[in-house]
Amino acid sequence: MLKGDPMNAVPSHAFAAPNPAAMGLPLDPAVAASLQAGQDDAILRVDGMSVVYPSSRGPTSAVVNLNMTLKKGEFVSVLGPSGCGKSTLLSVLAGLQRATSGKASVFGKPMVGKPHPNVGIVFQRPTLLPWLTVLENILIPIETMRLRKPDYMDRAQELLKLVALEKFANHYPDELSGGMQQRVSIARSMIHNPGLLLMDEPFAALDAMTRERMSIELQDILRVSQQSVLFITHSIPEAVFLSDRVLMMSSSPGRFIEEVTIDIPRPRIAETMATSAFAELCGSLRRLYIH
Amino acid sequence: MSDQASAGPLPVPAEVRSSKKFFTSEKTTSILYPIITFVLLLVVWESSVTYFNVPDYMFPRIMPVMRELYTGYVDGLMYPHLIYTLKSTLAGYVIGCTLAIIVGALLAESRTFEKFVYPFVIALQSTPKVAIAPLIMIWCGYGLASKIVMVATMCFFPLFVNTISGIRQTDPAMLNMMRAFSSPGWLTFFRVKMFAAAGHIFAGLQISIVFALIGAVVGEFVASSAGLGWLVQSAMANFNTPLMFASIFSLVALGLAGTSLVRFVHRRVVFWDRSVKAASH
Repeated sequence: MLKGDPMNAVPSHAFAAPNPAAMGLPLDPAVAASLQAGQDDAILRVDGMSVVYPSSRGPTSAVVNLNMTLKKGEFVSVLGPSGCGKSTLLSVLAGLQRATSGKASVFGKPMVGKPHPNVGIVFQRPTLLPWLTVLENILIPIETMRLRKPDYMDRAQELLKLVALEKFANHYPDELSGGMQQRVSIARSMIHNPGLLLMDEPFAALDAMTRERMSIELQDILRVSQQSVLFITHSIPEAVFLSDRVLMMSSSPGRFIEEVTIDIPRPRIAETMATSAFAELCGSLRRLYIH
Repeated sequence: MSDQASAGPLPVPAEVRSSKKFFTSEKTTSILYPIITFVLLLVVWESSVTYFNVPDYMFPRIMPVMRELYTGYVDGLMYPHLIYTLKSTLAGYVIGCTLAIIVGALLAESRTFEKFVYPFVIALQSTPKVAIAPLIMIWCGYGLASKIVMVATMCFFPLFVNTISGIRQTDPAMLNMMRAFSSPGWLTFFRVKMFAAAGHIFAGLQISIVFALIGAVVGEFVASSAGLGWLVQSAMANFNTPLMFASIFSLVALGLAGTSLVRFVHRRVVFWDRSVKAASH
């Protein structure tokens, strides 16, 4: 998926969701093969999922008929405007709410409002507990999942090193900048070594410059930790920079309108954002966004 | 304020600058200015009582009050009363506050429990506690026990209400985070909610310490044979106004000591709360 000339590959790799193969669209054989493989060893699967909220003006659909898969090691972004229901999708996958209809499963287990232990989650805000040190905050999932803390001390130190905060283990969250706090919450989401990370606009609360740097750092962290990621964002460059695939969502009610494979080779660096391949992909996504 | 000296265009001699800093610095002014007000009040008190020739039994001058304080605390006549009031206040405070936190936490956590008891709690809260003081005397006798019960009843409600609102105001994002990491309810309660409520609980503890003193004094007013409140009342019978003043000042000192102690512990325990840090400066 990462090979080939990205400039040429873009148009042929862009195809329509929900099920391009079934709709008989012409597919690049390599992509079709990877999709097929994805169907088999998918660790995350969403089939015809809809979520409807009751409201004063009758039931309102947040998301409608979503279909997607995510296979091991993949980084998939869900891109869409604010309020399109991206977070609703994530909330169901995190086990925080139930789908109204359709199915969602993580590691083969249907998600029915109970979190899966093999999942780590990063929220829009760092949501650290201000009365605990950075190290204690990172160990929160170990405590909540009733695992033995001493077994995870080494891993906590490793993760602190990975997010470049090893000097801040005994600091309190309010002594850290917003970017540093979000790095702590990323380390927290990985402490129990989950197979899948769910990230809900993790950099949305940061300023534009910190945000760009955090994207690069996240990619570097993931190259070491090898986690699969479902990433929710409304930033086109962020989605293009980080993802293997981008799923484009329409505004309310949310449905997938396009799937774009990003085959810019990794590791991607700051200069990647200045290449024409990058600009081309951002441009094609932006055109979809507007229409 | 301290920047004014250094911002001036002319070089200011070091000793002038430092003396200016001393008299205008935040630390000095926060101690010095209240002392100035206090001295002014004393002067106004003494001079107006002398000028209008008010008799001591109406409004004593400073010296007779000082004399009462001297015999009270140097000769030691006041100590038994001070200790009596202190005992009932402390014991009642501890009991009332412990109950308030436990029942408040139960009510905040269990909607079922809330439905069972909440209307009655509101009714009890609206009852003027002072009015039930005579009842408590009948139930618990005229001794220390009835004062303790009185204090506990007074302390209970402010802290109870604050505990509930503190727990309910926990940041929903934090609860969501704990839920996403499969936290059992009791762990979320002890790891998150109790800490999140700590600021509110300490605010309640501070209100309750004042209420505790009111409870102790009212208890002693109704029926007692000792205590600072009783001293005020028995001094009234003899028109010994200087002794009333001395007793009231002792109560004020107790109240001030209690509130500062609670504030001190508050800052130490709830170290992460920015509003507390800001208030301490």
